[in-house]
Amino acid sequence: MARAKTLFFYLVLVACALASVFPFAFALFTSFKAPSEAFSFGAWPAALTFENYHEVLRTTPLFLRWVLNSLAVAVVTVALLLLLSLMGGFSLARIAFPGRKTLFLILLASMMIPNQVLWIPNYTTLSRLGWVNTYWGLVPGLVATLSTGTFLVAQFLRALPIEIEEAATLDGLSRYGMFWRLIVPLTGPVAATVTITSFMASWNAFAWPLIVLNSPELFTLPVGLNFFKGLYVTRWTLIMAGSMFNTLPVLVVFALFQRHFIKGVATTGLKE
Amino acid sequence: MGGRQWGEAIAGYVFLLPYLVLLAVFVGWPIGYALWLSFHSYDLFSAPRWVGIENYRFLLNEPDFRIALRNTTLYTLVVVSCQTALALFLAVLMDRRIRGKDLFRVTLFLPSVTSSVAISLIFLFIFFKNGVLNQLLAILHLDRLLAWLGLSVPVDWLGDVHTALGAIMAQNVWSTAGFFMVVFLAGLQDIPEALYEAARLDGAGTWAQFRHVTLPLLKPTTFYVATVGLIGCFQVFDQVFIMTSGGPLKSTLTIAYLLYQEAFMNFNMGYACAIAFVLATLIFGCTMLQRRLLGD
Repeated sequence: MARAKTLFFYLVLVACALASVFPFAFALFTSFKAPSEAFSFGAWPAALTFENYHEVLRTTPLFLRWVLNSLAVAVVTVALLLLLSLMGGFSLARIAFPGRKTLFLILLASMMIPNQVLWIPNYTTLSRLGWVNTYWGLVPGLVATLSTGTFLVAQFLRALPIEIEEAATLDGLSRYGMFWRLIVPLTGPVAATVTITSFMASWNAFAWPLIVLNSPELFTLPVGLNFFKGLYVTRWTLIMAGSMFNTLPVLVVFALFQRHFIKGVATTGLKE
Repeated sequence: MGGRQWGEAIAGYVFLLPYLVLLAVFVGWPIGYALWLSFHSYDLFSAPRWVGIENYRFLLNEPDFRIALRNTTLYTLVVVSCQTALALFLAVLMDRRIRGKDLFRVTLFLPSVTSSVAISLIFLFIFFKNGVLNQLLAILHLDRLLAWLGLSVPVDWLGDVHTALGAIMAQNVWSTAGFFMVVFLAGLQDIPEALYEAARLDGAGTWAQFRHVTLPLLKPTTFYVATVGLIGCFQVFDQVFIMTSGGPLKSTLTIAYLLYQEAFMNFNMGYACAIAFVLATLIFGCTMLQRRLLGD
């Protein structure tokens, strides 16, 4: 009885795990198939071909540019968000100043505002700044992620004992020295979480870049893929190969840092 | 305040300043400006013209808005309940000694880190008339059941008014359940083992333990999951844009998609702002209601 129960229990888990992976595996296999084979159900391609990848890059000259755009935007975004979240989180968690509580509440509130409310006013602000159709225009789309990062860092730093700062003050460090020499090195785990969340958010972002960017050579990969889909409506092997450019890098990053990422999800908003 | 305290306060503001500037310019000011615009007629090219509550009055009588509101509400209700239930179920399964726990966790979490655009393209292929879903259903002989239900087989999942919204719902549940499972797992780990022991001493079986210990103690976690899920669902946009463009026959038209259309295709900026505020009010109202129901 107990054995049958255990077996059933594992069967359910394996089925769910397979259901999670199946669409990716299926898309990956399709991307290696010859076009004539696209609709065959057997997942494994009869003959492995890199033709689709080659053709994506050959027939869509901007494709590589979109990948590089996304990469560049992601690197700048991560660097900026990480620095600002660490600074903001440090200030809110460890420095006493008038208005701190109110500012913390504003931060929490800003995480709950639907993006759609901000689309139009931010678009008009950008057009006044001349930032429409520039990479700078992507900045407003990041603020929600910035609030989450700042919140995470603040929660992490609050849990640290006060003694470390006292020791640092005795050693003659100012608040600014303390930030670089003490806080930044200490925040390793939470910094990793912020790094991957902001990388994912930037790499996967679609709606805001779609609104801001209109020259194809500036597109990030998700916006480019939408455009690409329109070009090859029925050539599924090509579309699957194209979508792999967007999927695989994330999976690599996730595979490397999944521990931090899962931990970050598990702790956001749950404690206190 | 003494000199030292002043130094502290200044350092506090210096560290927070860049964040505050971004927040003020791209969140604070826009909310006010959007509210102001929602009482105006504005096409982005000529100056905004005051129209009072006209946009809101128009919206209440607009068939498209009603359709979008109905679709979005239905979508949110179904997806939030399914993803919460599935996530809780998976978390309870995983919250015991099992082999390969980490592998299962990573696998189930995988869909939630992937780009909505890539996922939408993949599901476009899966849901398509000659796609893998229909082939799979035919192998399992479930196509007869679908035909009996009155669908034309093979089903054009995203092209049929009866199934398009359901297909997007299923895709969303698939892609978020693993994320919320991790949140539930964290909640489960905070429940002291002693409570289960006490319940067992009182003769509680597995179901009774779940019902009287797990569920009540998971209330705050459930509130968090349901709220985050709800905020996400009400804003559904990417999948609709990529997979159906609101069709067929507006059966997948959602509030966010309608807003995008009005703002960036028809340039009815004021009207779109009014839509945005109705959406924000809905999200806020539902969150408050959930707080009441699941109260923490």
